[in-house]
Amino acid sequence: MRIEKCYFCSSPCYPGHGMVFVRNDSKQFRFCRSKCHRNFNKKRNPRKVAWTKAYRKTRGKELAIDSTFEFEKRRNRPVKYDRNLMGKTILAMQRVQAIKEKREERFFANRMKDAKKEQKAQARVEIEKGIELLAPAVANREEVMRNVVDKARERIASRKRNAGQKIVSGGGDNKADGMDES
Amino acid sequence: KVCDNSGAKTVKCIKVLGGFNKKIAKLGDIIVVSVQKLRNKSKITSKVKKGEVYKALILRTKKKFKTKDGINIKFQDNSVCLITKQGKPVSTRIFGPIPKILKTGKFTKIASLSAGFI
Repeated sequence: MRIEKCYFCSSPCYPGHGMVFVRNDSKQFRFCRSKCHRNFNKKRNPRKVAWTKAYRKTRGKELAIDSTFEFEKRRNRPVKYDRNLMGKTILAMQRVQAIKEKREERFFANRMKDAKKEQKAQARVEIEKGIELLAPAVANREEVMRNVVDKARERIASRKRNAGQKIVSGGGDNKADGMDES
Repeated sequence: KVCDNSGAKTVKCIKVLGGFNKKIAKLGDIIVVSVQKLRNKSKITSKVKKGEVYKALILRTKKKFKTKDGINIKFQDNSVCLITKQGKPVSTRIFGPIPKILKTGKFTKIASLSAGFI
C-alpha cells in the first residue's frame, strides 16, 4: 500500500479515496477527491490554481527546493527486509520530517518578516480614511478616560480621609469603613 | 474500439455473456461482438472481416472500476480485444494499458501480449 500524491493538489491519496485516471499512453493521474478531478476535467493547470501546492511552490510561497525533499523520492529497487534497517529508516523518517517542518516554518517567518510593518502602515491608511467614523469614538474614549481618572482620584482622596480618621479614632471600625468606601 | 492488431477498428456489442438477464458488461467481461469498421491500412492484411462475429474481452472502460485495493480506476476510452470462441486472442499485440486484474486466471495469454499494466 502506497500513499500517492494527488496530481492536482499534491495532497496524499489514501486508500479508498479518490480516483485514478489512466490515459492511453499509460500515464496515471491520481486525484484525492472529486474536486481535483473536476478541475482536471475542466483542463485547469494546477500551477495556476491558487489553492494547490503546485501554485504555492511556483510562486515561492512555500519551500520548494530543499535537501529534505530528496528523501521522499521513489526508488525502484526492492530492498531485502532487514529489521535493523527498517527501524533506522523509521527513525530517520521522523527526524527528516521534524527538520522539514522547522525549515518550512523558517521559510514562512522569513517571508512574513516585513508583514507587521506593512500591517501598521495599512492600518494607518485606514484610520486616515475613516477618521470621521472614529471622531465620536475618540471623544467617548476621552470622556471614559476622564471618568476613570476622576474616580481614581476620588478613591485616593477617600482613602486619605479614612487614613486621617484612623489616626484620630484608631481601630478596626474605620478599616471596615475604608473597605466599604473603596 | 479495438486495441489490438487484428485489423478491426470498431466493433459493436451484440450480446453480454454471463447470465440470462445480464445487461451490462464491465471491465474483464466477455461479450459477443460484430466487426463494424476495419483499420484502413490493413484491409488486405487483417485477420478479420467486416460483419464477422467474434467474442471480445473488455480491457478498458471509461466507467469507474474498483479494485480490491479500494482504488477507482477510469480509462480514457472503452476498449476491447478480440477473442476466438475458445478464448484465444485473435491478434498478436495489444496497445495501451491494461488493468492488473486481467493478469490472472483465464486471461493470462492475453495479458502477456499487453504493453503495460496499471
